Amino acid sequence: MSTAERVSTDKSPGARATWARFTRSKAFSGYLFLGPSLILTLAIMLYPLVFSLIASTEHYLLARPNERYSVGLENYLWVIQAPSFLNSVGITLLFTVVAVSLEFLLGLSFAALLNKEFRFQGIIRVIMMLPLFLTPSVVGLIFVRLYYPGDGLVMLFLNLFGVDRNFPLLASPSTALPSVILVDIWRTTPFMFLVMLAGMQSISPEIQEAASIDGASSWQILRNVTIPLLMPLILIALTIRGMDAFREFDTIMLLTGGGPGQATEVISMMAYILAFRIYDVGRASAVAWVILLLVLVFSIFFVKKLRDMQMSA
Amino acid sequence: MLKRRLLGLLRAFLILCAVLWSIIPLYWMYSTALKPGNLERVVPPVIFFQPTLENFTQLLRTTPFLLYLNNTVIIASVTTLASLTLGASAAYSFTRFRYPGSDMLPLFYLVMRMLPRFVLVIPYYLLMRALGLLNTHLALILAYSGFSLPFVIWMMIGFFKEIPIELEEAAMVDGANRLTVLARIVMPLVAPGLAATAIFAFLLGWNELLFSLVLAGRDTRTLAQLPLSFTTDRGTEWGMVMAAGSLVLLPVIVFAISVQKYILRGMTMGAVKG
Repeated sequence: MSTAERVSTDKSPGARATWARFTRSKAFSGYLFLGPSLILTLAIMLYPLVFSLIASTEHYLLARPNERYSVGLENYLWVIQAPSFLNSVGITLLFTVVAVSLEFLLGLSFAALLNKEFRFQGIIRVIMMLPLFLTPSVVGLIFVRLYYPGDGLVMLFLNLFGVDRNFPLLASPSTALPSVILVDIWRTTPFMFLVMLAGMQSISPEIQEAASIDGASSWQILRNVTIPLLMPLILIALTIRGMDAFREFDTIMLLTGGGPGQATEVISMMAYILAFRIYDVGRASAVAWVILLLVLVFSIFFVKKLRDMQMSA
Repeated sequence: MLKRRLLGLLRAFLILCAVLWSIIPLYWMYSTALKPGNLERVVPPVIFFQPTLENFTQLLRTTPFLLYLNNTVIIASVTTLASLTLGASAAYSFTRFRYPGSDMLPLFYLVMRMLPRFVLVIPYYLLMRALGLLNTHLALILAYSGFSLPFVIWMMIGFFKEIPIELEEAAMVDGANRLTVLARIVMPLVAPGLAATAIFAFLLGWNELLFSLVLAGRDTRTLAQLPLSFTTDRGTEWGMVMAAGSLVLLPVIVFAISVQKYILRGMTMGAVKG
């Protein structure tokens, strides 16, 4: 009886004291600062994710929202067997691998070229990084004009090498994807260029001088000294660019809209068409989730790498 | 000696090529926009001509350019303000307090940054439709604020980490409370970083196409959508189309030049300081 009494009288002031201690603690202030942003993230990003996970197991047409019913994993089965999905995955991978590796090589060359001091270097660097900022849909528009059969600048240039200047680059199945890739290369090579340049400038010149005194050529220095030292940075740059190329939508939407046929229908384009032209929310969500799982694997790899880098820095 | 000069010349030539590669598409757009209509499609292209603004006046007269501009400015500014306020306080929380989750949550935000946005667009559309928010500025503001948060948080974590904690502790020992310290000491010190982050957040709202395409209706479309309306029904009026592109890119170019010092940080979520 007396114990119970003590507990009951102690309990509320005790809890109040704990609460009071908590509200004065650093953890509480921490949560207070973090709270609003966490709520927004949960509402804007996590809720839609959960919603689409549920929708991906349903028969759900946008036009008939009242006829939703569960179909289990049927949508996923459809996705992994659909030729159009395999086609899209193939095109997305091709787009990503070709674009990112060429951007890397070009960015590395630009950086090597502009690493040493020279006249006008400030203004030249500004010009070289500009494409990265430009509104992607406007970049798409510029290139539609550059590729325009008859009098587009690219066509006039190709004409010098004997190509018919009336050839519709963007409307031919064999040239559409390379043309779209070229736009991505133009737009985002500056990213690789800037990362590589920053890396090269952080390497102390003595290392390269030492190699040069030992008789190494510039090429040997680049290959055997500079690139190995830049390796962590290169990995980060490739991952970030890879993820962004993987979800590219804006320029492709402008240039080809996924066509001709499905020649440039990358995965983001396929999900868009499924959901907003065919109105099949269930299948579109299943496509989204298959991709999401793939991207998660990559991004966890990236996060680990980044953490290692920050620890060593 | 001769070999060295040749190498120098070769290098200068290659640099020139690199610069031309970056600038020609832009130059082409601006020159087409300023060309009089009768010279627009002449082959080979005319390089010297009397510039005219006729394409720009026609653009303002016959297209909803000003409406789109107005929408974009509202959406991008409110997004910037919201994501900066929320993101900076979250970053401050991550760098100054220890609590369950303070280690893992920044990584959670990093993963969120990597999420392909097209995965979110369908459920987000349905959510906004259910709430009756389609064709409102708010729908896009909420979406863009959510997207730029991970970015803002990671940028600001970097900037906050550069401020020695001792400064704040000293002020607090002298009796200042945390909000005073934040307003008087911390914020002025991170102001340049905050400004750079703001420009990146603004550009997200300015440049994004997919969500604007799906969520915005007739009254709320943004500038990124303008090119799309041209390619469908005005395919041949290139002068005007390029005038539109030039206007959309003008502020972007100014911003890009003003944040060049922070570009690398911005593009790599703070992983590369540059």
